[in-house]
Amino acid sequence: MDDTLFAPPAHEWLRISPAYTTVVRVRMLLTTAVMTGVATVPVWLFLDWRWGSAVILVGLIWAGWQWFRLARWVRAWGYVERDEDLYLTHGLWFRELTVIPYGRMQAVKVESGPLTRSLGLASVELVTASLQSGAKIPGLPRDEAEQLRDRLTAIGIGDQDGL
Amino acid sequence: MSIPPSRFSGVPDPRLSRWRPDPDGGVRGAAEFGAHSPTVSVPSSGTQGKLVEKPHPLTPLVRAWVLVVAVAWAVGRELLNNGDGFRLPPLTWLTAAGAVIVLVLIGFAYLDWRATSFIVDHGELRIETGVFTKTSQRIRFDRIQSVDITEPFAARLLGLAEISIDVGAEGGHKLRYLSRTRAAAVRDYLLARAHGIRPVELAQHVQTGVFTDHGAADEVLVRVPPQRLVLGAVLSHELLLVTVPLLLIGIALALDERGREAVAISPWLLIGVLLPALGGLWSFILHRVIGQWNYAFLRSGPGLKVTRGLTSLTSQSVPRHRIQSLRIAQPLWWRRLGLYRVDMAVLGNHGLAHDEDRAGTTSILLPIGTQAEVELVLGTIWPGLRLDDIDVRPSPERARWLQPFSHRWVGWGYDDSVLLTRAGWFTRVQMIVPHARVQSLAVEQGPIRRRLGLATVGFHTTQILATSAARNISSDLARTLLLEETSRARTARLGTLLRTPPEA
Repeated sequence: MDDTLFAPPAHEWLRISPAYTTVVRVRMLLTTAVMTGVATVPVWLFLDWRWGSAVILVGLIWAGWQWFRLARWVRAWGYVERDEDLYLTHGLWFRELTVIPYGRMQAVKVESGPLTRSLGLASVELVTASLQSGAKIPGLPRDEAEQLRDRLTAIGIGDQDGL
Repeated sequence: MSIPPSRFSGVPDPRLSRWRPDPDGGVRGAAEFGAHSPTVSVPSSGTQGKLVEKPHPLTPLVRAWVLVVAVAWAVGRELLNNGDGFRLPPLTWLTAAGAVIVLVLIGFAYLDWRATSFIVDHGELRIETGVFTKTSQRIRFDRIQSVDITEPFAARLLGLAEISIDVGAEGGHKLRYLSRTRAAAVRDYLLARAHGIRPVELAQHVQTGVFTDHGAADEVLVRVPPQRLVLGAVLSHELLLVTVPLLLIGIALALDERGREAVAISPWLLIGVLLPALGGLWSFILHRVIGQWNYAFLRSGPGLKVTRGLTSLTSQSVPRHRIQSLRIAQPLWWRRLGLYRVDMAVLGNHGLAHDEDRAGTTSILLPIGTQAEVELVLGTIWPGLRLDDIDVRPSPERARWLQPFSHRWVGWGYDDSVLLTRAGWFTRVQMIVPHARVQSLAVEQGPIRRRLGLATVGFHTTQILATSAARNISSDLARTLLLEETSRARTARLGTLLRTPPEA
């Protein structure tokens, strides 16, 4: 049943670049390392070294599980451009499908941080008048991101912003 | 409740001489803008001459009232400490420096007052300020979205008011400070110009009172009596959240031996412990009761406005065209009494509720009202809204796992112009969002919902009063709703809502 709910409205979902997996894995490793360190130190000091090692072990297991899971998570991202609107989907456990009419888009932002830039990727963010929209396509190859931005801009952004 | 008689009737304004008369004689403008006594003609566009308005001389006092009070307190304390009689404090470096600083500040305030003026030219309003660097802000009349009068606490004590002009961009413009009648007259003039009417008269006598801000031609549609405000505040759960900690702390201290001893030794301990809860209580009372005192919903000329406030009087226009969504809420204890609260999300209401007692624009459209009043307010804002005709669909039975208490209430529905969604168990909330105001949509499904075959479709709007979503509906329906709503949002227009429908 959820296959029909999150199926693309037409054709297939366009996927983001698999190289983005590296970016999210690096982020995950950094975060896990920091959190494990922060948790281990007081445990090691106030309890004994066995509890401290248990915490580190939990951290390692988590990192290992996320390492493989993030590849699936990146593959679950998708977007489709239709005539009047843009469809985005993401998520493994908490899946979401967002629809943004072209007329409601106020601006298109293309951004990349240092890590994504070194891999030749960029993220495209669609800004509407609502803060709840949260429409961001991360990890697209840079030229594809810029072409998407140009196509969206050419359509005539915000001509029906309904405000 | 009767409107207290105006204190300002009939006395001609001594600053009349500053208005330059129109050589052509002008044309009489719309009579509904409060012209009751001798008026002064304002030059129509194209002729030379313009309106110049200076802020009230007491303006610097109001702007720096905290400083003034601090200085007065310090000086007063000095004098009192010196015992009987008035003796100047000894001339040390400190007092000399203090006196010099105060004199310099007074000088700056005077220069600032001298340099500020508000000029109405043929197409625009200009605010000129600045002692050293001259600043001129231009506001075109057709950009004005709403003009509100606010009387912050210090200004109110002196009988002054400020005008806030909203031009739809970040932060509006403020004209500080004018006398109350002057501010009302200027507000009416600006609103008329913004609506395209050109009243070439600036009404010299506009009826305002100390407690209300009603022009003579205003039609009061809804008035909320203070008793109902207090009742609503007493019966609200926020009050409980604030007073229960107070009670618990009091009881704990009373029952415990050491507590009683500590309080006996120093009563200030009790205050210190209770201070955060007391602060919360005060803030709550301020917002709910004092800030909404004398609430009235009026039709004023072509526009609608809301006036409220006890210590700070606020007059806020309700721009029907810019309302993004409405929220009707009913907390648990109001259900017996049949009372509701209506909030509105208006585009461009930045700076909500500033000042100590929430003078300024807020999102509250009707703080507490009966069902008839809610229907009247909704019917005035959106005449084409037919809430009763909307068929509200409930969630399927299996959604009871996720919404055990609110299952009977939760639902969603739509008609040609609006979406209606319901949520909440303690406070029953209804969100009304016109299709034309939906910015984007999203379907969400977590692992639990996936097991139950449910999903939630969220409708995104500009300002978030409450999440507007069709919650816990079946997955197939969610898909259909998503696709249909996308096309409805694209094609729907607000026109049917804003116009009274023809009688069927």
